[in-house]
Amino acid sequence: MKRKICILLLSLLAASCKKEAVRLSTSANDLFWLSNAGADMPVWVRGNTASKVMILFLHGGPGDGSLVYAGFQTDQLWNQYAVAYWDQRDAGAAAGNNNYSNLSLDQMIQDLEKLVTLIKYRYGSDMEIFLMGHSFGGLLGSGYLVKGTNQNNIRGWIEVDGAHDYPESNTLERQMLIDTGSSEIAKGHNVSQWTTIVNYCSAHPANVSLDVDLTTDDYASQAENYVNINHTTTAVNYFSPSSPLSFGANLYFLNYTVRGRAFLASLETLSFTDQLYKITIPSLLIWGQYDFTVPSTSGYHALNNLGSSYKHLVLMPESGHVPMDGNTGLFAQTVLQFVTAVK
Amino acid sequence: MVKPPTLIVSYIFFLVLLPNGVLRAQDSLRKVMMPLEVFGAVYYDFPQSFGALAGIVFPWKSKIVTATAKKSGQKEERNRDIIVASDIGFYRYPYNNSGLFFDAGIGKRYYKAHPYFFEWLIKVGVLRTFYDGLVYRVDGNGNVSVLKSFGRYYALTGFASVIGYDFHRGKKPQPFALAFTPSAWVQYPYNSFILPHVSCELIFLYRFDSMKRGVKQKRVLQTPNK
Repeated sequence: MKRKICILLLSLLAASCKKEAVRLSTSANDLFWLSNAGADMPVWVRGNTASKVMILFLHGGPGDGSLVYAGFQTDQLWNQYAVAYWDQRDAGAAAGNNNYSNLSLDQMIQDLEKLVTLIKYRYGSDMEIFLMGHSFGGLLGSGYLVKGTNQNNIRGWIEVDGAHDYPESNTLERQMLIDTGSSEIAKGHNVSQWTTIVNYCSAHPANVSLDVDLTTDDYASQAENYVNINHTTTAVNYFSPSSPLSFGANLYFLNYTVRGRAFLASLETLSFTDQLYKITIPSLLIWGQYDFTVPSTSGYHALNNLGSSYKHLVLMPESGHVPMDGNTGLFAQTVLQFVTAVK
Repeated sequence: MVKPPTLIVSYIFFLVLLPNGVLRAQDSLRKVMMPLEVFGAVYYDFPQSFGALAGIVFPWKSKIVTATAKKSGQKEERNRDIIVASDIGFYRYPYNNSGLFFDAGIGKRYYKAHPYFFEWLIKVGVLRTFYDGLVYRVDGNGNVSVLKSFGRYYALTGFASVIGYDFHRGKKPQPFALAFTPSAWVQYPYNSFILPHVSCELIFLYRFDSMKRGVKQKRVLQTPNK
């Protein structure tokens, strides 16, 4: 009996000393964490890791968390490729103690650099990584790609309604709300709602204060309803690996505390438009035609400025700021075609 | 003969007490032996954490209020014990983290002759989390290391209410009770802020009649105003 126990203990000891072997799979459902500069950030990997292609999703917000998009919006990609859903620091289910002092775009870019290194360590250096940045993730992804030699580690860039230029987005957002609102009022559509929006935007220039820009963002979200953009109504999945309580706590901290708002205010002046020429990897730009938050004009500007020789912009005709919701099938098809073409 | 000012003061005194409908007529203090209790519980924390915990409850002070019903004149005893409780437990939140926690609290238990009882507790403690899945660190040179059993320490504090049924006061007295405990607590500092929790426990509580400690018991006799 004693001998059996000794063998068992030795086996356990040997197993604990062994380097973690990650099994590639056609239906992976992995979770691992990157701990960096006071933040512990979860990464859920779903789909086909055996394909040796991974789409690394950079969520928006900031603060939104990535698992919000891990359902019907992107699951059509899983059969062919893997998708990594990363919760950025102070977002979603990311945890840590007193780490606010490290909350900055520069730090998040460093987090992303380390995550790319980690993915290649964990899944093999031949894993081809595509970055997909949505909204704020467009700013983060652009910031990462224009820095140093980072883009050498990335096979392709997919920007989805990305805010790679906050001041420009704010200006275009306000103008689109005024133009569309005036047109809709003239047609007699949702007159009282549009009048409120147009009056507010007319009275408040963009890029003057965080409060104005956040309020305009709220109006931009509402405006999608007034032009009949389809928002899929599904039961909110409270019972998921990403707790709505941690999601809510992180969002509350960002939006309603002095320190969180200071971070949001620091983003309002950031722009990578004049550095987009540095990005030379294949790039796909996907934009919702009725995105008021980051209007498609911003996508066209990015298309003109990107240094890539292989670049496309695809408009999603029934979408607002979240085309993976408005045109789920077309979105997946567009992404799959791009990845398959350049992998 | 009562002097007029004294009469006025007494009258005001009675008026102040009138809304309560009772007059505290008699208090007494004595020491009684009360049993220690141990408990085990299954634990659920919103949204997907399940675990278990075990703890101990010490009686600290006891108060018995004997009230007389205004109409029937029947006497009823109401017990209000101050209790100190402590527990250790764990939860597992698949694809997120597991936690090991220890806390201690103070609260009050209310019960009468019937078996039902109610408690509230204020708790403070410490929580240690362990992340699900491997945790990696990447240094400035791109070297990757695995952090074994990595997690974070947090302080925790919260409020719990307990609704229970004490079989000891049932028709066939048994030394145990069952209780349901909804609670709300926060862990901090969580990303420089707090993380709220909403939990509940299903508790099996066993009283050790052989392990008693002396506690001060105050008896208060309340009589209704005429």
